[in-house]
Parts: sequence; structure tokens; C-alpha cells
Amino acid sequence: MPTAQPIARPSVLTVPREATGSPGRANIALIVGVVVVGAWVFVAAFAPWLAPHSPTDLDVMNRLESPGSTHLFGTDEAGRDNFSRVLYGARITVPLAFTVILLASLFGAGVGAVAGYVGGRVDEVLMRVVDIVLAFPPIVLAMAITAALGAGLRNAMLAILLVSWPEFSRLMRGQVLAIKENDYVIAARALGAPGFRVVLTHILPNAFPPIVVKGSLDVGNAIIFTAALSFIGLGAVPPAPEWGAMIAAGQSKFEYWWVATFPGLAILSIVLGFNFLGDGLQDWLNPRLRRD
Amino acid sequence: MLLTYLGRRMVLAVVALFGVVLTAFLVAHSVPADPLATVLSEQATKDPSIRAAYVKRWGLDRTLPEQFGAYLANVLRGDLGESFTTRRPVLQDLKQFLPATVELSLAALAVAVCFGVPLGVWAAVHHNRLPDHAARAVSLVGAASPIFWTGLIALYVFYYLLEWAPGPGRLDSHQTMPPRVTGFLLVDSLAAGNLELFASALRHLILPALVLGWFILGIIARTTRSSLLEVLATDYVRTARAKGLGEGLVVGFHALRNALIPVVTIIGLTFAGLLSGAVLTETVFAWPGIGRYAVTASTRLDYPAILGVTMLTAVIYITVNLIVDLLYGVLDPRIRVR
Amino acid sequence: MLVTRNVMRFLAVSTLGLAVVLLAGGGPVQAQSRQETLIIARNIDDYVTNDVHRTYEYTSQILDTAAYDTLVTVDAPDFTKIQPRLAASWTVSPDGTTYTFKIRPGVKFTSGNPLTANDVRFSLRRLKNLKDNPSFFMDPVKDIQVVDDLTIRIVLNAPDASFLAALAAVPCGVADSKVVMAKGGTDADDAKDKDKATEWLNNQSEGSGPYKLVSFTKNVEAVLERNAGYWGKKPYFAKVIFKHVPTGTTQREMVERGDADVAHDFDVDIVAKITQGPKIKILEGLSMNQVYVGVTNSAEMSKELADKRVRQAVAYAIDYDGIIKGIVRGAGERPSTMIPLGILGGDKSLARKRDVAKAKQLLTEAGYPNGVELKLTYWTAPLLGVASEPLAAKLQADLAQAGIKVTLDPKERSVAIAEYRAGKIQLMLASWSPDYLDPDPYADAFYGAGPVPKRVKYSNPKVNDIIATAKKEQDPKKREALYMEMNKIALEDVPEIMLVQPKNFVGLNPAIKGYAIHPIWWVTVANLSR
Repeated sequence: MPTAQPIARPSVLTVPREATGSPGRANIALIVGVVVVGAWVFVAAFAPWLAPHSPTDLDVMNRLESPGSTHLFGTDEAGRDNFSRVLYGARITVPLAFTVILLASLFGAGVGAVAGYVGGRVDEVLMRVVDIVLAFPPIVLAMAITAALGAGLRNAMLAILLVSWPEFSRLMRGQVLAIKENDYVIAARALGAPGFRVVLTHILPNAFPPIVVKGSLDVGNAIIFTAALSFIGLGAVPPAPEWGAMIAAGQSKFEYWWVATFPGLAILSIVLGFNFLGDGLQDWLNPRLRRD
Repeated sequence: MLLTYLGRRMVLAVVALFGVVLTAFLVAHSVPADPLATVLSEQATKDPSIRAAYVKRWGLDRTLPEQFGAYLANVLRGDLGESFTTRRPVLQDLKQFLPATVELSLAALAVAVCFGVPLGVWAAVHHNRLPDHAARAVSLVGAASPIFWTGLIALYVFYYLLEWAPGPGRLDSHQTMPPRVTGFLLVDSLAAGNLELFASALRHLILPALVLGWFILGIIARTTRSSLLEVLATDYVRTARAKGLGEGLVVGFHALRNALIPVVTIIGLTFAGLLSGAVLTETVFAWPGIGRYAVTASTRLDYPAILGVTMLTAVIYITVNLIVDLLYGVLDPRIRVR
Repeated sequence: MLVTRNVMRFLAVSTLGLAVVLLAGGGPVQAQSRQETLIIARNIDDYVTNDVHRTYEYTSQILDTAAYDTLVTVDAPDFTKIQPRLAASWTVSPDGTTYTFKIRPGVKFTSGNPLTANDVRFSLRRLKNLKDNPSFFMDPVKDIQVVDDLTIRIVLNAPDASFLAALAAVPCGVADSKVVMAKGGTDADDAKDKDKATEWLNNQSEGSGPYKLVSFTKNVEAVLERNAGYWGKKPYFAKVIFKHVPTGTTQREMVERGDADVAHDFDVDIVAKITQGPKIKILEGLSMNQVYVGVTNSAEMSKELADKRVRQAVAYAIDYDGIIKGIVRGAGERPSTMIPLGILGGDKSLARKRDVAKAKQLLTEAGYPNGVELKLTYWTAPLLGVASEPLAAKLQADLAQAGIKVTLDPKERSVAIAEYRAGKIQLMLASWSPDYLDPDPYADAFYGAGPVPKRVKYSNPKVNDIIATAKKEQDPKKREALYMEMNKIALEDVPEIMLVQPKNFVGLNPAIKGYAIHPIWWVTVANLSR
């Protein structure tokens, strides 16, 4: 192992936690997480019906109106309804973050599984690649990639994907290494089962819980990441109602605080939801989990 | 045994560094435009003599592997190209702006440790009661907030509304920097004997350090809490209690000392996260560090600068990791055997 | 419990310590030096160069007018009156082609070199031969003769009513020829390729003005220091710092907190939220600036826009009233073309009115019954007091109603300016400020031999003729009639679409005295005091 700690980059909730108590006690974190995330997924799916106005309809005579009855979250600098834009923002952010992390986790876990199972030279080479990508602070590398390829959500997605997959590899590899020493795996191999069957039927089912936990936490991070890139000007192109871009627009006229504040609260709430979800999943999938 | 471990770690670090340069090179070549755009500004690309000189220096008229060779050679020499924005060698820019980021990061770390460790201890001692839940709430919200958003709000509230914090920048607008010794204002102002500048620099550090540190504070608090809880349940602590030692001594000395080991590790690892967070914090607080340099470079499509910053931050991370690993290898013999 | 108490004590001490440091500071600052320093909070990322003979941006004008003297100048209260600066007096020959200037004696450059007629000749020739953006100011000049050390004669190709106004423009500043040449500068005919002094001049000035540019850090700050050897009245402020502050809110915060004295980038939205009082004062006035859309005429950039009817369709689709009433909340005017109101030839009567039906009809006539797709490029920094993003979004929405689908292409300002100057745009939302106060530079700059027609690939020989004739015309009434004719053609050809001539807003610390908004270079810092 290249470092003493298998976790290269700590996120809040992968640190060891004590057991939450007796099995009968409700897993509050999981419930809260599912509710919040579920609510936002609902918003993302049904925004066109939930939103009172179109997110791009502008009304220059009512610019920067403070929150009120016609505009719940006020209007932005072009007179667009802030509330509708926040709702539609979920349509951009939620699917994007899900897709990116799904792809990153599949690819990363795949690489990690191969490295862990096959071992030897292959393992060394793959892990070196992982080390290299992990050496860059993610946002700096993502900025470099988007600057090279051009602004736009698609390139931002690609950049985030490229910086997100390595940690899944590390995690998966660790899991595979631990599990493949188990008796049932050795038995299966002794009985002559082919490698990939062993991986698929024996190793993966036991290895995936931490991947799922990390995945759900990472969706939250991906949301913040996309917003950060848009905030700098490298992600979403106007007039798309992307939350990071909305915060950027609101920051230059912060007296009109609602323009930047509500998108930020949206990000906060949805990421909290994913953090709770990950926390809850961790408890649910492996209640005796200590250090990874 | 130790030497083999050290040796191995260093070799791996070198491999990683090589990979970093290769990655930067590949990113540079993904620019779908004039390849010279990655090293020269638009005006310069029109001057044939300048073009020719650059083509020669960066090997742009040769095959890709040869280009990489030229690139690697240049990087090892310290030639990272010239920034379009500042018209200076990128390395010079980085040297100028790096101290500000390091100073901010260290300040943020200090804030995070000074507030995070006590918070974690408090939460552990009162675990599953109100202080524990409060601490958890603080760290959860810290991890879930986009740092540029909290920075904006903090700046508006504390600078403008409450008038507690000073404005953007490292010093007041009319103050000039002290003569540069280290690049750290806190050090340089003291070295110049200028207490006023020192105070001003410190005041300007606080708000961005708080904003940047809040995210890390949560992690440190939680790590302290969990680690302390584990240790408190161990045999030797029970023994210490049974022996009649006061609770304060038990927790404050015996338990904490061992509980802090993973915290120290976490601190080392969060450094990379600090660098990331610094990028956005510097933008909000107009902090002249490499984070802001990276942001202006990427919006201005100043490719030499972007790649220079990217490589530098990776090099820093690898170095910090190496140091942490080596220290760990020295401190914890079990690691070396693996 | 002991532990809790210790922990609480530690936390309390930390917080207290932090609070003390925060609040205790901000005390009696180096009072004297802050008093004598003027801090201007401004978005200075419009920078391209500070070389006085190339300067064509906004911030560099303020810097270069403080650092370099021109022969004559214009200033408050009457900006149309030509006043002496380097030239103590001048005469004009009866046929209007020969100007003889007597330079005041005893002027020294910051290097110590004395200023002579040679330096004037060098500077004006360098301006012309660098063939950069402002070179066209020197187009009327046939010859420059040094009569003696303090006398210079300029001969024009033909009489030119606006020539004195042109000489007051910042790029006509006089630089220290000895130093500039030592740094690789030249005024020779091939200066465009051979001059190497710009790099030096970007970071320090070599002039004779009341201030000296001592440092320039792109996107951070520009610093002017008082010129100790200045020939004129000693300015109050020993130091002027232009701090780069990109957002209006922060500029306002800084002025109200005393961290800055002047804020340059206020727009109507910020001003609406400011209560004037002891902390901040607002100055306002109609500017001579323009916010407009450059429309390419080149088939290479846009097949559709190369057709005049499509350009006119774009012009008919825009909701001009909505922009004036909504985006700038009424704080602006709309002249019909690029000549602003307040200048001869500036006119409102011909201004095009919105007509979406006509726009659709024109598109159909041009062969695009289903509309066209265009790209609107703009920079993300403010457009001289008008926020760019909402304006671009509005244009996109307006044009959509006529079937023109617009993709927004925001870019960082330096990148956008570079693209615009290279002509690589279809529609460009941009701003403009005066070169000098006469219709001729506007006519040239937008319709004739100046920079913008090159960017949008526009050329109309008829217009060029009118401009040439109007240049020579001495009778103001006849001149005006000529420019009105030009306006009509401009409205037909649509090389640019004029959107708004906005009001200027400046936020000031009430203690600052003598501030007058200068239409060309924002403010003459040498006139300010506290």
C-alpha cells in the first residue's frame, strides 16, 4: 500500500463511527437522507409542473424584486423568477451529479477490482495511475481540463468524472484484497471456478456496500463541484438556471441577497441530504463497521 | 527495513511526479486550437521570430513523445512557460503567489485544530447528548455548504453589516507590503519590525481562515470524537480509572494522547482539501494566492499558468504525503513490515 | 466535569483572542499617509496596454492622462473648450491647415530630460506609425516640423475642425523620446514591426505629467505617484492607487467603510440601494459612453448576417424601450446611431423602433422564413455601468420573438476583447467611451477608417466620402447635415446597433473635493483633494 491510510481524502462521514445502538432503534440518518434526496429528485422530475414561472422568462421591468407573493424567492437581475430557477436548477444538477458518480464509481470500482484481484504488475501499474490522478487537488485539475476543452456543462461533467473515479478504485481494491482471503472465496477457486465468476458472485456482492456509501456521499460533492465550476465561469452557460452560476450572478450585487442565497441553501440542503443518506446507508449496510 | 520502506516510498513519489508532468502535458495537448496557444499569447503567435523560438524550445515540430521529452526537460529546468497574463515566467508567478496560499491554509488549519479538537473532545465526553448533536450539526453543515457561498455571506455579514472584519485583501488598501523575506506577511512584518502591518495582516487572515477552516473543522472534530470514544472504551483507560486517577487526567492526558494519532494523520491528509478550498476562498476574498491565480488563469485561457499551477499543487500534495508517510514509517513500526 | 471546563476554557480563550484581534485593529491607521493616498476601487481588467501611443482602453486612459501631458486638453466645466496644457499658446493659419504651437519652457520628464519639440514630434509620429488602435487620430496630419526647441508646427492635409480636440486625446501624450528609444522604441515608418518599448511602458510611464505610473499589476492594482518635478500645480494626493475590485457591491462596501475613496463601477441597481450620507455620496450625469452590439458584415463569420436584411431584422427585433426602462431603470438615453447625444450629429429622431413583424418579414425576404441561429459574445464584467448578463439575456429573449435563436457566449473580458479585435464574432455586446469630443472620431471609429469597421468587416465608400467631407467642413450646420446623412446610411447598413448611452454613477467619500466626471478619461486625478 502506498500510504498507511487507505482513505486518501477524508469526507466527513467515512471516519469511524460507533454502532448506533440496538437493532430496533430507527436509523434516523437514513430516513432523513431518503426523504430529502427523494424530495429533490421529485423536484427535479416535476419542476415544469411545480414551478410557477418559466426559468428563462425575463421581465426587465421587475428586476431584482425582493421575495413576495408573486415571486416567492424574488427575481434575479434579469427579472426571472428565482423560485422557478431554483427548482429547475435541480433538473440540471441532480441528473448530472448522479450520472457522473455512477460512471465514476463503475469505472473506478472496475479498475480497483481488477487491480485487487489480479494483483502483481497489473495492480502496481493501475494503482500508480490512481496515485497520480489523486495527487492533483480535484478542482485545480478540473479547471485545467475545462479550460482546455472549453466551458459548458458537458466538459465540466467530463472533468469531474476524471477526478472522481480514482478513489473508488482505491476503495474497491482494498475491499477485494480483504475479501479474497476469505475461506469461501478460496474454496470457490479451489473448486475451479473461473476468475471472473468468483469476482462477480462472491467478491462483488460483499464489496459493494462501501462503494454505495461513498457513491452517495460523492453525489453531494459532485453537486458542489459543478456549482463551483459554474461559479468560476467554467461550467454552465447562461441563461441556464444552474445554482453555482446563480450564486455568481448574485454575488456582484449582494444587497439583493436573495439572488445568491436561495441557490446556496438549495445546494446546502441537497448535499446534507446525500450526506445523511450516505451516513444512514453505512449504518444499514454494515452496522458493525469500524475502520475501513 | 526502514530504509527499504523509505526507499520504496521515494521511488513511488518520483513515479507520481513523472505522471503529474505527463498528465499536464496531455491536458495541454487536448486544447482544440493552435498548439502554440498553450505557451504563447495571441499577439506573440503572430510574430514569426517568436514563434520559431518557441517551436524550437518546446519541440512542437517533432513527434509527440519527443515533445514530451522537451516538455519534461523544460519543466525540470524550471521553465514552465510564460504567463500570458503577467508576461513573466510562470515559475516566478508561482513563487510570488504561493506563500499567500500557504499562509492562509496554515491559518485555516490552526483555526480548525484550535476549535475542532476541543469540540470533538466535548462531543466525545458528552456523546449522544446535546453537545454531541450540536457538534455533529456544525460539521455536517460545514461539509455540505459550498465554500464560495459561505464565504460570500460571511464577507457581507461580517465585513459590511457588522463591520467586524476588514475588507478583501491581505492588508488595508493603502498599506504596502513589507520587504519580502518569506512571503508570509505575519513573518515579514515582524521581521521588518512593523507591528501595525502585523496586526493588519492578522486581522485580514481571520475571516478567510475561518471560512476555509470550517470545512476541515468538522472533519477534525469528528475524528477527534470517534477516536477518543474508541480509546475511552479501552482497557488501559478502564485501568487508569480503576486506579483512581481523576477523570480530567484520564481523558485529558492518557486518552487524548493516543486519540490524537489518527487526528494528526487526518490533518496531513486534509492539506490537499485545503488547497482545493483555497481556490474558491481566495476568489471570494480577493486573496492574492495561487488559488486565485489558477482561477484567473483558467478564465483567461492562460494555459502556461493553468498547467503550472496544476503541476505545482500536485507536487506539493505528493511531497506532503511523502513526508507524512515517512514520519508514519518512523513512528509506527508496523507499517514498515507491510 | 474537569475536562468539560478545560475544554470550554480553551474554546473561550480562543474565541476571545480572535475577537480581540479582529476588533482591536482598525484603530488610528497611519493617518497621514492614508489621507494623502487616494484609493479608487475599479474593475481594471480591461487592461491591454499602458503604452500611451497604443492606449485604447478605459483604465489606461486615466493612468496615461495623469502621467503624460498633451499639447492641449479639455476639462471641467466646459469639455468642448480647448485649454492649453503643454502648449502655452498656438496659432492657426488662415487656410486652416497649419498649426503652430509654442511649448511652455522648463518642462522636464520624470527622467530629468527636458521636454522639447523633438519629443512632441517623436510622440505624434510614433502614435501614427505604430498603426495601433488610436493611430487614426493622426490621419489628417501631413507633416510635423520642429521649428525650434520650443516651437512645433503641424501641417494637415486639409482643414480639420476637430484636430485640436484630437490633440487633447490621451494617445497624443508626449513621451520622453530619449528613454523610449533607449528601451527599443521608434517613431520610424516601420515602427509597427520594430518598436519594442511597449513592454517597458506598460509598467512605468516616461512622461511629464503630474503623476508617474510606478507599478502596474494586472488584475490587482495600478499605482501612480506624484511627479516631484512637475511643471504645474502640485496635486494634493501623493499617491493614487487603483485597486481592482470586480463587483459593485464590494466597491460600495469599501467606500462606505473607508477602505476606498472612489467607486467607479456603480450601476442603477447598486445606486438604488445606497442611502447617501456622511459615508458615501453619489455623483451622476449623462455620459458620452455607448453600449452597443457590433454586428458582423462578413460572410466568413456569418453567412446570414452578411445579408443586410438579416442585420436589419436583428435591429428591428430588439426591445429598446424595455432596455432603457428596465435594464437601466431609465438612467440612459438612446441616440439613433453611434454618435452620442451631446455631440454634433448626435440624434434621437431617427432612432429605430421595435417592430417584430417587420423583423420576421425581413428574414423571410432574405430567405430565412424559419429564422436564423446566431451567437452573441459578451464579457462578464460590467459594460460601463450596465450589467452585461441581464442585457445579453434580454437580447436573447427579444430576438427569439422574431425567430432568431441566439446562443450566449460569455467570456472573460480580456479574452472577449481579443476575439472582438480579431473580428472573430457574430454579434458582440460591447461598450465604448469617447476618443475625443467631436463627431469625427465616432464616425471614423464606427463607420470609416477606424477600428470597429475592421472588426465587423464593414466598408461603405459613400460613408467614407461623407466622413472625409465632414472632416473638412468648417460650418457647423453643414457638418451636422452631413453627419445626419451618414446616420441614415448607418441605420440602413447596420454595422452596429446602438442600445443605450448610459448615465454615469460615481460613488465618493464625501470628503473628496473637486471631483468632476470627465467624459473621456473618467476623472482628472490631479484635480482632486480631500
